[in-house]
Amino acid sequence: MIWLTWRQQRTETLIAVALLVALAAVLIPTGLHVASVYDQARIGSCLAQDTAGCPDALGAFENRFEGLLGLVTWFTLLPGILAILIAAPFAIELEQGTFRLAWTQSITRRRWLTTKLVLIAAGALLAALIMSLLLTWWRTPFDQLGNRFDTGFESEGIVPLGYTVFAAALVIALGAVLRRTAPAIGLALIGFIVARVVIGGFLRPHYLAPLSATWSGDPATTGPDLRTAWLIRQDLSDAHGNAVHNLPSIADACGSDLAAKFGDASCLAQHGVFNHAIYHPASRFWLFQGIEAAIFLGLALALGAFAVWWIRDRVS
Amino acid sequence: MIEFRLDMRSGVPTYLQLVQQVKQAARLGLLQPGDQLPTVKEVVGTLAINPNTVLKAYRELDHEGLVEGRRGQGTFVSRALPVAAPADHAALQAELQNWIGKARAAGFDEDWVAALFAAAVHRSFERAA
Amino acid sequence: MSPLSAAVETRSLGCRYGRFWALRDCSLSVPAGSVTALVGPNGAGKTTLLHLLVGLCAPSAGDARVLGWAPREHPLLVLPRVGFVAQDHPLYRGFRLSEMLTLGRRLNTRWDDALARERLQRLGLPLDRRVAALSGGEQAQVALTLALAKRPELLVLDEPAASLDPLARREFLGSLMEAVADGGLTVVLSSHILADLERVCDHLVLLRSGGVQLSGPIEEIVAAHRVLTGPRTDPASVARMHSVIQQRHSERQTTLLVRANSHVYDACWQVGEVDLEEIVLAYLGLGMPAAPVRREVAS
Repeated sequence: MIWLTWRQQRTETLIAVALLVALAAVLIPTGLHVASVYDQARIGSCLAQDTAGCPDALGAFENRFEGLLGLVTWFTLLPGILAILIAAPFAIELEQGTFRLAWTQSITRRRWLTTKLVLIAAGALLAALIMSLLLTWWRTPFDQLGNRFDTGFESEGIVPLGYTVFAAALVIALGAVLRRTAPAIGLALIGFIVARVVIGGFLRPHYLAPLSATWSGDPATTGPDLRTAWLIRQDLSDAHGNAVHNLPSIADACGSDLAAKFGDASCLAQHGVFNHAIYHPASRFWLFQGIEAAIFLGLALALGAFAVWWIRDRVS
Repeated sequence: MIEFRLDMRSGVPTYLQLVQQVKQAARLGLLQPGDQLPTVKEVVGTLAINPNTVLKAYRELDHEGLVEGRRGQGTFVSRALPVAAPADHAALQAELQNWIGKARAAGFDEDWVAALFAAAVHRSFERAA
Repeated sequence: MSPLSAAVETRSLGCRYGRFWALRDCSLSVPAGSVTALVGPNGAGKTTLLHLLVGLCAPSAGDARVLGWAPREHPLLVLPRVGFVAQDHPLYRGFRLSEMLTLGRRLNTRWDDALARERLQRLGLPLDRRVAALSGGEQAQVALTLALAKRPELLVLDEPAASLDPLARREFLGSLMEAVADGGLTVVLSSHILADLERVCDHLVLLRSGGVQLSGPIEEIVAAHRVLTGPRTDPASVARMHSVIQQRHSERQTTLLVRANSHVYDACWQVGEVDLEEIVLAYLGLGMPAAPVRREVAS
């Protein structure tokens, strides 16, 4: 049965391997280059000590690799593509009816299903792991600059594993119900994107209650470390983080520009107005990774269980 | 080796057609005593008919003493059918032509003559069996 | 293993999808060693019945015994002994024939690789050819080879010759009959091509949506049915003695197809024999019977 699954998946697996090789071929040289520029420009010591000329160096570094970073951000679609490659043969088998050949040899339907799903899940996890390792390593310089929650969250760590297994489970479940491969893949892609947008956009900020901080002046000296944190909202408030009633007049009185948010700190403080931020600190990164991965893995398991039930009971 | 042909629309049962073809071949000297008939497998492979039909035909021929089955080897022709001497042919044919002439003179066309003849043959052999 | 008299036995077997009964009240018995034809109109449930026999679906009502066991409950006791070719003979199109044999070898406990190779060679199919490069007839033969290489006791074929041209069909059936001639094989095949069935099969099961309408040895079925021709009249008197399956009336003549419960004596009627195809067509043309039709043809 293992041989059969491999043989059926052979073409798609090789394509997936080729994709990963191409990914490495793009990421490894560019990653090494970025890392060497990072070292040469001594960005690391800048971030630690903030010597003179650092803001320029940081700005230059960011501008230089803005395009490349944007390109790599597109690789966040890879989990979906890899998942489709790995799960498509399963859907094709259900569409073409060859499962009737497999189920009437001398193995049970349960063994067929178990072997296939385990191998598909293992393949998806392995491909996602390779992809994640490559991307996490590549992004290390940028993560130091503070983009980790922003553009890095969905490409690094264990979250891509959750995405990939979830997408594969979607293809399998839809393939089982629809019995047609193309609509199954199409709907799976849509469902995959919707899930990521909804969960990433609306649920992720609420995995834990965000922290609230108020301070006066430059946060680097007196406030929280916002550079590497995930900033949900930043504004002006009273000492407890609540809204200030007559903020515009106070701002005028202090000669501050509300938009700038960093006005004359001591004047604002006298009036009881402070800088305020709602954020998730960088230390929460792996916790959030774990939660999101668990959500997608949970969804994948639920879809998988549904597919198993459907195939055992409703397919003949 | 005899080659069987079937006419599924003739109304004659399949096994009987096989029997008749074996007898015909024997009569014409195409099958000699000692010749082997095609195996059941060979016949059904070519004709796409049920093996039981062939078995039935061979059993019938065996029953009539024309063939015998040798275990592990096949079915073989065991005796020759009496072949009518040419002299008999000529006399019978002349009588037949005579009768046909009479029927035509009486106004029967080809189809009627053939039908009359077939019915008479059928009745005669039926009664004899 | 003691030989069973019936390779397949079903009792009031039914299968339901939601509220729709794909097969209903199917009771039949397939004698071991027979070549049994399964005929019926589309929608009668022939494919469903065959799928039930190989465990592809589960009964919603009644039960089925294949070679002595319920196929869905004891798949490992049934599947190795049953060869199945589904409708349209599904095969993995990208596989080479050698890989199809590997599939059979790995997924089956009983597998005669030499027989499979010899058969493919006799058919002129090289082992390195891909399935997709084969014609429809060749693919059907490959599917049959895979089923036969299991050395099954029962072969179940769902419309095996449906998509084949006449020559390919003849070759396929000839090939099948060779396998039957080897002995020890029971065959159940469904088909619409009635002329083929009369050559190849010795038993018949006629299935309609209400259940099995007719079943038994073909010889006896043909012997039991007669065509009665006579002047135009009401068939009531005949119907008292025999089952009138089909009646046709013209201005001057009435033609009846009956299943005779006894010898037909009637001076009014001209009695003739009728071939299997006509009998089956007459049963297929029946409206829904008001009362269950007597199932077995008495011998």
